[in-house]
Amino acid sequence: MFRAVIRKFLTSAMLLVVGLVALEREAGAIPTFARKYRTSCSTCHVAIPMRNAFGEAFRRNGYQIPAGDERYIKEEPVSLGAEAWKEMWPEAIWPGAIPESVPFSAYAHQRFVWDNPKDDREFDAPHELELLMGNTLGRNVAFFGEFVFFEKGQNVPGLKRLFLQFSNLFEGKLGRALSIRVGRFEPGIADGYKDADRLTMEHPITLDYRVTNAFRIRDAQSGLEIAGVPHRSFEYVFGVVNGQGVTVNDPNNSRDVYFRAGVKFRGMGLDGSGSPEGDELPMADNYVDDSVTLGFYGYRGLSTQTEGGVTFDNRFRRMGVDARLNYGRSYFRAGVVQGRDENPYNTSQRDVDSTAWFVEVDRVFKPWILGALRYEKLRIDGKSDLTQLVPNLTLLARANIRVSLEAFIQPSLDADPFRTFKANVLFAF
Amino acid sequence: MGYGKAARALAFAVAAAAAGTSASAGTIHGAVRASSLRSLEGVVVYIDRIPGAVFSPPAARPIVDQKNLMFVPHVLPVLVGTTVDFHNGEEPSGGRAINHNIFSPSSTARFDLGTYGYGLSRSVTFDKPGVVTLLCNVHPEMCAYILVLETPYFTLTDREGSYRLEGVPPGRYVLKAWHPLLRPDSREVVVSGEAGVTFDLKR
Repeated sequence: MFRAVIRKFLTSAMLLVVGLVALEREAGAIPTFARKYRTSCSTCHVAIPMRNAFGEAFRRNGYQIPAGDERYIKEEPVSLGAEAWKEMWPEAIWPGAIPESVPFSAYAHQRFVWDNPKDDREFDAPHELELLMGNTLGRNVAFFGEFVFFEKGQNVPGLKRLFLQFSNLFEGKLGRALSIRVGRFEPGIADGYKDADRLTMEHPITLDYRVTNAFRIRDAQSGLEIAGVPHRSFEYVFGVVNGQGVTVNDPNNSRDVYFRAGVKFRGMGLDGSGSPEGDELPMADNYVDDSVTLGFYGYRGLSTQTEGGVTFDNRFRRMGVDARLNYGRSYFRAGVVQGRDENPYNTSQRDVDSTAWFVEVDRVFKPWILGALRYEKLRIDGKSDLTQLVPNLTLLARANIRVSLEAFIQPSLDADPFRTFKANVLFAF
Repeated sequence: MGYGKAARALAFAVAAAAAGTSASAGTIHGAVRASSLRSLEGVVVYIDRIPGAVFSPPAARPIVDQKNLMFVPHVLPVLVGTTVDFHNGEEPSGGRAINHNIFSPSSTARFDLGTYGYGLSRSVTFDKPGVVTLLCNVHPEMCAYILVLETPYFTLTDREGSYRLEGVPPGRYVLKAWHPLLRPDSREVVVSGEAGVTFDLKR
């Protein structure tokens, strides 16, 4: 049975690769940060949107080049006051800047889906269109946002993320130890393997599973987060959020809280130290960063749900560990999260435990050919016990055009474990 | 911004005129490095106060001009006691005059020259050493700096960050490097003929 699954996957993959390679397409215009620095996506990304070590340091540094942002900027911002106006403060407004060009980029997905249980094969194109916005507002102030116009074949416009970040506060004394962001964002507990950093289309089970509909680690939340890199090898995150994802009104008066601590051994520092400092940003071979990164996190929250006309509270927690080993062109990732929900279903079933874990290996075969294989398990007391396997092949037709071929297999099922095959073309501009 | 060879030549000429010449005068040369800057031009390299030495300010008045909504030069080092002319060289655009207002909030020299038009100049004498920030109340994106120094031995770096300070009498000095966006740095240098010093400035 397993051979049949692999045969189906490889046959479909080969047919699609031949078809797609035959297409000729000029690369689109470049997204916001690529425009600002006149550089390729590959400066910060192994394969969009999966970031390399430099891209991670860029993000942590408030979307600024850690080694000195000013020298690499090719698109001069519009000044809202020369830097010298700082001397006038508090008798004048602190000077800032806005981006010269409108800071919008777009990601679009075209997809083909083979749903095996339903015996359905169809084009889901366009699958998704989202607008990404991000840039700096002068030194050490940045914003980032994500607005989805179209998702899973439907017009479901909505703001997924939008936050303002003050980075490297009191930089002279604290360096990069203190940044604050406010708005709607993915809680930083997932910084060890952020949702946008995956090579696969399927989300890793540790970020994606739910015990109830009210909470999932990867959902954006509204709140405030404090984070920093006090040492090149150490990062921390503390956050307070409304809870319950992107609901407009928080149904309870309790705020969720979370923390994360991460440590990195060898490789480029979390603050970007050790990154190249030439006159131009390096655009090639940026995927090697031999290092080990470990993280530990916790989340505690209260969700309020209504089912069958009855409203009830569920206090819950998640504790997790994640690890990443980068060695040459291979990345080994793993994560485990353990959860406890005190009253998830408003039934006699209380203190429901859950455990999810995954191991994944990613490989850069060529700068434009990458592969991933993830094995993951989920167990929720009295509800589910899943095993999942996600093989993926990624081809970069251009730095901003990514083709993904992926199967979703559930060996734990008695019936045919092959669930879906997806082929996706993502392009960004 | 543009410092240009002219600005550097002016800075050195003023310094040399004040210092006079000496057959045994030495040279300090070197470079300034700063990874966060796009251009290394315009870093002021100077010899700090020499105890007991007093220098007369030059008769020639440096000019800070205003053109294309910028102060020119962006950084001007002067010897303490120098009078600087602030000139409005902003040509009228589309028949409309462009006025500027120069003021400084700095404790070294606080002044406000008011608003004046094309072709006019107003002057300030700088009697106290330190950094003077220049701003324009009409155009907030404009700024410049005057570095008032206690010795005439100063110069500006070129685009590569190189500098050359000539006519320095033999002796032991504190050599400093200053840029408006970076933390200043200093080195002790002994001048006896040629001496080389490199600075690495950071934010």
